Amino acid sequence: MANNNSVEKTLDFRKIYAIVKKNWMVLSSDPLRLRVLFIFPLVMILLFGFTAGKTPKHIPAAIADYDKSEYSSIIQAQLYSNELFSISRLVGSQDEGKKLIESGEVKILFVIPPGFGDDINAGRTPEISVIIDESDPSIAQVTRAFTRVFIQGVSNQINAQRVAILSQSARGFSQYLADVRTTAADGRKNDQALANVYAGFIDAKYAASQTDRMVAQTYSKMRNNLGMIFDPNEIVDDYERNASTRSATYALLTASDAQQQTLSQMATYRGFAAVGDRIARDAATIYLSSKELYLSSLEQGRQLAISAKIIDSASMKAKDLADFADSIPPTAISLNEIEPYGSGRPGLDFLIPSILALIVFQGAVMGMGRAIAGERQDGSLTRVFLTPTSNITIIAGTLLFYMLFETLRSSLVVFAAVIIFGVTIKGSLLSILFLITIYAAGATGLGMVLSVMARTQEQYMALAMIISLPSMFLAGVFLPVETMPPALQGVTKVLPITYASDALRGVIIKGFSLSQVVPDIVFLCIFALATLVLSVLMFKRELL
Amino acid sequence: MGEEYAIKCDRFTRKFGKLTAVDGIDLRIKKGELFGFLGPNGAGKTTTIKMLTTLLTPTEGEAMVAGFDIKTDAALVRSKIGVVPQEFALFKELTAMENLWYIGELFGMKKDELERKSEELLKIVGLYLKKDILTESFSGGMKQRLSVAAGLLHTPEILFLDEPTTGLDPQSRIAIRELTQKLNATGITIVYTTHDMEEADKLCKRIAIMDYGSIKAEGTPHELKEKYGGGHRIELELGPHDGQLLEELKTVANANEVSQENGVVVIHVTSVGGGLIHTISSFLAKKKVKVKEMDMTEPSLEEVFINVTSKQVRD
Repeated sequence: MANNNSVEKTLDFRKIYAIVKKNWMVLSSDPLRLRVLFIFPLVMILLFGFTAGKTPKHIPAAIADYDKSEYSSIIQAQLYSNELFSISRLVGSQDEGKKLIESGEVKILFVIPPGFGDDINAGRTPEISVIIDESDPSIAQVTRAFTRVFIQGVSNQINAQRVAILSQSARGFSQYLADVRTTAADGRKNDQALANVYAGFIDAKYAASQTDRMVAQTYSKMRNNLGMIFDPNEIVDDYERNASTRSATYALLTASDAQQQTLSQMATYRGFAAVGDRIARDAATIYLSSKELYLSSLEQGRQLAISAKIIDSASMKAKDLADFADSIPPTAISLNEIEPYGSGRPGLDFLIPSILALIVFQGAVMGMGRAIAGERQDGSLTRVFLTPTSNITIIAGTLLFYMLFETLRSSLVVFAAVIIFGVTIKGSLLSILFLITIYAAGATGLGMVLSVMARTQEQYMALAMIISLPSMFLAGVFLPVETMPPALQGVTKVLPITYASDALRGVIIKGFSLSQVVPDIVFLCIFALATLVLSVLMFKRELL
Repeated sequence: MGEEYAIKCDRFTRKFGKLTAVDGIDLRIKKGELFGFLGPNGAGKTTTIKMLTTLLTPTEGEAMVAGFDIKTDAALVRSKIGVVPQEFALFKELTAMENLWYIGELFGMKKDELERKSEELLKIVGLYLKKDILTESFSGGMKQRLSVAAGLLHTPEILFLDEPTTGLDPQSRIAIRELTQKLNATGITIVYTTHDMEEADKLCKRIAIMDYGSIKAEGTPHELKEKYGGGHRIELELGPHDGQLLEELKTVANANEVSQENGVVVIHVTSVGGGLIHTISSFLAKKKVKVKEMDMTEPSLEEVFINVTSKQVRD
């Protein structure tokens, strides 16, 4: 006796293929609709491409300088020369500045506290306070970001000064050695000569220890500075959350480069300190051998020449050290000269992941109305229901088609971003494709759930609006998430678009591999699976 | 195959909330029958068809279709039945051929068989020359004929036609009816719903009249007319005769009523069996009454229908 299984497999791949092919045939029979579907993401990317990246300029600001030191004047000069801010007032006290903020005359007050310069000289971490007009969250964001960059810039300047001092000490040491050599050569049988050599050594030792101390100090200074350096990824995230902080964030990213530079400088200085040690040891050897030589060469003056040679070689080392110190480039930061990060079209790189996530989501959710609800409405689903085809096969085939279609559409967005705007994709294209595919699976799955719930396309559209509009606005693509009430911010945590944006951002901008976005992938996979199960459970094979 | 019935249902019921659309019907349709479902709109015909074709589950009762239980063996039932639903139920974005391809794939038909059957059926329904045209542009009749082809694609044992001629022009109606008869002649059981009385009368071998969710009358058209038609009319145009004749005729013919309408004598009888016409003409000859013209009308199915379902307007 035949049974159900002989005519209807739970998962029939031939039928799934037929469903995919049928959907493509249906879609491609309407060339206009097909074209619109493909043009829509291009329009979106063009719109974003040409409107994104506008940065604020000349935010009115004031400075209260309690320190009035050499360093605080550097800071003032930096603030004055920065285009982001327009310093309208130099106020005498913090309270005076606060009043200016309250009156709306300025948006920001920079406060340089007393002892700021002393802190720098003592190797402590200097602080700058910023008072921000919180009534404008976007400016608050920009300023916070900017201040971090700013302190980094100042500490780099200080480092440069210290390197210069170091270089000077090394030169002095080199001079001492030259003197020792001369003295040693001239006063071969003279006790006085030995005394001179010894004095020379003392001086050299002092210079070396000075150098050493300086190096240690600079090194610890750098370590202090590093304390306030931040995670570059955080910057990118920060950027994403608030479109208007972009300009400042470019600066931050450059600061991150500065951080890298500081780290390499630290390595250099560590080497430098070792050289200082060796110089001191060399100087001791010079002294001892000179003394020995003096004794032994009362009769054999020619050996003195060897002594002179050793001194020469020590001198060479000192000179190298000086040159080396000279060769360390001073790191002065000027915020005005910061190069935009990425493609030269500021903003687009950062928005691409979100745009992609948005397009896939909108496309999938809006397009699924035709899938089941539409076929139910126009009756063609009846015909499918009259065949021995399982619900799972119907859903799998339909989902597969829309998933492939959305993946294709999204690939076009990536392609357009690269071709038209020269967006740099740091991660692998395969990773992007993988992420888009699992995300599209979830998005079409969600559409499928709505589609099996709705009886008509009109009902579907109403349901889809409830889902897709919040996703659009809560995903932080158009509006920064920070400006929303906490409850709404919480909602973003359960939206797949949030996770897709995050993962795509990681891969496209930061060059992450898939293993670095595992939590996002897990969420997206669970979401896709949940929608698939839900749509199978909710799928009613009944026609009323 | 000892099974005598193509369709067998008992206490078949479907409720939608408080409304009982189909109310415990019992039905037997033999193999090879051309069975008609008659009934006013909302009588429960389409709901019954949807349940029999596995598109709806009955709330109570059970049914065996083509030897399989519609609840437990729905997929097998589907593989044995063909359906021409009331609505078009095909993809208007696909051509005739593409539609058949898709349906054939979902029936799991083999490629060459599918191609052969599609071409054969498109020729039968007269759409072969339009096979590569999008069905969007098809007329109502063409769509319906394609729908029939789609229903027959997998060579079903039973074909359900749910009001296939509604809204069609006379030519298309005739084409569909002829096709239905031709198919039935090849041995396919056909279940046909309609509210066109004439069509049911001409086409169906047996008819069930449904109203308010239950079967009110069932039988061959002739049986139904005999039972519910309100009798036959014998009309006589007679030569001169006396007033007594009508009374005498009533007794002779065992008539329910004899009346005179515009000079024509009308005898209402329940049945014309037993040589009634002969009896009447002999009686008149004996009475020497001249019979100028004699006419006899059977009750129409419409009369049966109205008698069974009342004249109240539905919907």
